[in-house]
Amino acid sequence: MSYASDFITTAKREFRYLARREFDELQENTVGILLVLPLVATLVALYLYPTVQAIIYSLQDISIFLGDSEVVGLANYIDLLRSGTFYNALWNGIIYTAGSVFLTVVVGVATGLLLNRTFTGERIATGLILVPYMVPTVAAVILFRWMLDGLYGVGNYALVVSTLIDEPIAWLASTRYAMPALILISGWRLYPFVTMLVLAKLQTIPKSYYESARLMGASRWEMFRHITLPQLRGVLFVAILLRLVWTFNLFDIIWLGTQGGPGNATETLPIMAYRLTFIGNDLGEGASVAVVTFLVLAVIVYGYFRLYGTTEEPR
Amino acid sequence: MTSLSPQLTQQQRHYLERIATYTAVIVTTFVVLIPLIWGFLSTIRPSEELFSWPPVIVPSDVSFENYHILFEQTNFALYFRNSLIVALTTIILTLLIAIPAAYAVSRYEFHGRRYIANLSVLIYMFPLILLGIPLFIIFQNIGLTNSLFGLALAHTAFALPFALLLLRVFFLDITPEIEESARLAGASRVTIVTKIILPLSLPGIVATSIFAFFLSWNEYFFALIILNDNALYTLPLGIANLIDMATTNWGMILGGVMIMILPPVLFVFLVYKHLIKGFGVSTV
Repeated sequence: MSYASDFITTAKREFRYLARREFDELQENTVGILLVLPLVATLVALYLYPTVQAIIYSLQDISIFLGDSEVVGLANYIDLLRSGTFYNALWNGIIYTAGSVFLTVVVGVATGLLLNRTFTGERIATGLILVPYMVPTVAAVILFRWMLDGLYGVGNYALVVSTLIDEPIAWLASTRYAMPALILISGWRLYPFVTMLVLAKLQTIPKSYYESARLMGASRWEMFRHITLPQLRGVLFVAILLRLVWTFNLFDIIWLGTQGGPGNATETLPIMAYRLTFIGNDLGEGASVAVVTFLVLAVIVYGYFRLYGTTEEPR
Repeated sequence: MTSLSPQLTQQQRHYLERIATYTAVIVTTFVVLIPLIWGFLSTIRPSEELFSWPPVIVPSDVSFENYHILFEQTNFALYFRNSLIVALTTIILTLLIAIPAAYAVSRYEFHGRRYIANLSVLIYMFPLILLGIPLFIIFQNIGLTNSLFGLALAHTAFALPFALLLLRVFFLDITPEIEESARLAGASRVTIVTKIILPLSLPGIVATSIFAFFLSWNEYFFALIILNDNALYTLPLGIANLIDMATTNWGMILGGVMIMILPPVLFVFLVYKHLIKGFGVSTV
């Protein structure tokens, strides 16, 4: 009995030892490939394959329940480019993206510069100012829906008291004000991303730069203009790029805030694709909008690189 | 130089600057936190005060009735549990897949190594909607819709690229000399990883786990597409669903919001140091 179990233990140990030896003697190339294989497999299964599928669906007349499908070539795309709703969604997406990227970058840089100063309670203030980024999107949207409520919203009250508006506005239910309200929510939720990047970069700028500038009699503004801003260039390039991409693709804030409404006043391309696919049940048309979203974005990113990505490539 | 009459002394200047800094910090912090403060006040005040115009700023009475209703009359506890399950599964899957890959990318020379790192960046350009639509069909075909595991899998796919970048940074921080001497002493590849690499990069592993947790805890879109059954809803879906009910009980919903916010916000303060570091190194 004990002999048998001893034997098994030894055999196990022996086996494990051999397996390890085997693994140790593999070529570096083989080990590397083996180790990244699960990652590559997951990414292929969950990114590449679905993307190819989406393209295939976009070339078919097919419903979300599958069933009868018919290959129609580019018909979905042609229909799309002929419809006014597409241009409306494209335009809304551009306004929304421009507005929220601008807001997040301005607030992000300002808070980053502020937090880079030396003061007591730095740690707590930094933590608190970064908090909105940790607030889940759903939570952020609900908080703002409550504050911007047309009947009882405290935001409306503040605006009325400060005589900026005459009477309460149902922000998210108004064709005119829904978009600015969504931009405000996105700005609040996402500026800390820029703050963190800017702050991290600011802390790497050598103090000596400022000291020698001061010795040469540079003013505050000159130091900011000629030291801080150029140093931030690289990080701002990355921050704006990422925000641009993510905001253009963003779904949750808009869907939770207005569902693209009222009407389609705040419908962007991702919202339009979702509505077509899961509410209109038109998989083919929905997929074509999703593909076009990606293409438009690629064009925007290409343009962005051409415009600003010239000197000293930030990585 | 001395002829300028209202010239402030160095000392006075210094004081003014201090005052300006503190004022700016306090005002900014307060303004930024208004939605959360107001949201919290709304959960503890008597419900008739919620629906009054002009709004009452300071609650006349404090009660936690809303939190009580939330747990008694809605599926909130269930949503919380579901979210936790999905988030933990996401963390485990992400680490299992990303650690070996990140280690390989940072240490071994193999075909396609460079593409792996670049691929990750490219992936974040993908519109979620472009993945979500076909993923719904694929998951439906293999029975992963209406499944918490299916949702965790989608979250893992989404967390992997950044997890790879983050872990790679931490692995690269460990000098290869340590490994070399371990190898000379006869340690196997497996021993080197389990006894040297993993313990030394623990902060990186913690940071990656927290990142995966955030992502999963917050994620709404895939949950909306994959989950159909109210009993499987995660927090984002469940809470959003409470608003759409006929009579919106704002006090109760905001109570749910407050509870949902708590775990990630507590994390910020716990991992404060790594947060800034992680951001600094991974992007600059």
